[in-house]
Amino acid sequence: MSEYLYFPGCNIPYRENQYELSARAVAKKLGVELRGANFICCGLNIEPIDEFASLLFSARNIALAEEQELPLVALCNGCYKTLRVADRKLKKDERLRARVNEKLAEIGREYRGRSEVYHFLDVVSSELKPEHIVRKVELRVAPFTGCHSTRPSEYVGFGAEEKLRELIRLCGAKVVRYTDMDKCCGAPLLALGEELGVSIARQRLLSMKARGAEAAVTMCPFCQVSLDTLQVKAEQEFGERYGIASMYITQLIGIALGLKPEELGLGENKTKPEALLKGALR
Amino acid sequence: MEKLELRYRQVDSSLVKKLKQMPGGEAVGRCYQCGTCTASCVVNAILDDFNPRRVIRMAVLGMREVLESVEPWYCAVCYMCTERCPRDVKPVSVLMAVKNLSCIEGRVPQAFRNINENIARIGRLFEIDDFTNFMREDMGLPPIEPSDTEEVAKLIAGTEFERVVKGEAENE
Repeated sequence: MSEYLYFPGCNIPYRENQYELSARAVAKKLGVELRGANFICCGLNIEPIDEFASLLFSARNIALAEEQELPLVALCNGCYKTLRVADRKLKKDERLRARVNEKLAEIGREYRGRSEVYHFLDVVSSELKPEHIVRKVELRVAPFTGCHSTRPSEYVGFGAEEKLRELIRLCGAKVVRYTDMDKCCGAPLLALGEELGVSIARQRLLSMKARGAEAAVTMCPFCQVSLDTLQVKAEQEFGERYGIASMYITQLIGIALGLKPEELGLGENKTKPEALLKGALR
Repeated sequence: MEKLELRYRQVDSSLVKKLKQMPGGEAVGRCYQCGTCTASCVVNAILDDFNPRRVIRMAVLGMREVLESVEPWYCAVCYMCTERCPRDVKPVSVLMAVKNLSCIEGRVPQAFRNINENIARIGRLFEIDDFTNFMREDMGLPPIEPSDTEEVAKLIAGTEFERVVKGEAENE
């Protein structure tokens, strides 16, 4: 039984609860325990304003994991990258750590550098074995790793591209490669204008469609919002049809593990992958 | 967005020195303007007016317009340029340093101030209200605990972040 402190981030509890639901359902099947704590923002949104304050937020969250003597696991690429970069910088730079700890002392906490930050995909990839799979999902699936599971490679990375492809194949699906598959989903631009996010999401969807993908799997709430929620908007705005059913990798795995669609929150996805999944079961 | 133009109006020879002292800005002087960053940029692909190579050039030349422009804020922070830069300039981090410096000098785009107002108050981007927790319970998920607002206030007290979000920086 492996145990982690689960970092929910801001987006998932607000608008992408099906990711947490499916991740918890998969974790339970695999015997992975996810504990909770009272977290705050990972620091990602603060970075452009004040890099030091962003580090304070990250360090405060990592300190909670250290207090419980557990590794930290995130579902969101943005949280994973922000916490991981902060952790790496603070482990390496003693002066920076001292400055951060001076501030953390005011809230009665300390960053010691004794925890580790993981992405949930990494955990699933080491725990999921072929014998767990009870049914095959025969679909042509476009993997979407997003940016912060692999970049900046100076600080982050766990072979997310290969692991995501391997998990899709384990579920019985076929991996579809497509143009610009390692590029940004567009969601970070939503704050400055929805049309910018929609335009970038459209480019990814067009290249998936060009290679005959029926579905996309994501591992980050930002990417899922782009390929799922914004896909509906892009279809309206551009008068095009992409027809890519977008789902979290944890939802696809859940189906292959024999879980029911409602246990995985599949009804919450805007591109309605449920019917497609039902027709693809073997 | 107003396009930045290469015109010598407000040259500030101390700008590059200031940037090099900011976290992320250290390598700005190494840039040899190959344009790999712009060629790799997903934002530039849909928006000509966002050009990381040009922002870096203007910063190196000491043109204060980069601090006054909203252009650096359009970076999607995808790090493709940082991975590909042959001079290891880390363009994402340089633009982050430009934005941080812009905040220190008192400017922040309203959209970014708005995003951070909740974070400064409750520590999170979105407020989790009773309705959200009710929906979570209905799905079988544990509730999200209310934030410790006192702890958040203490954590940000005296930081540049607090000063910017509390409105002491001018809106753009």
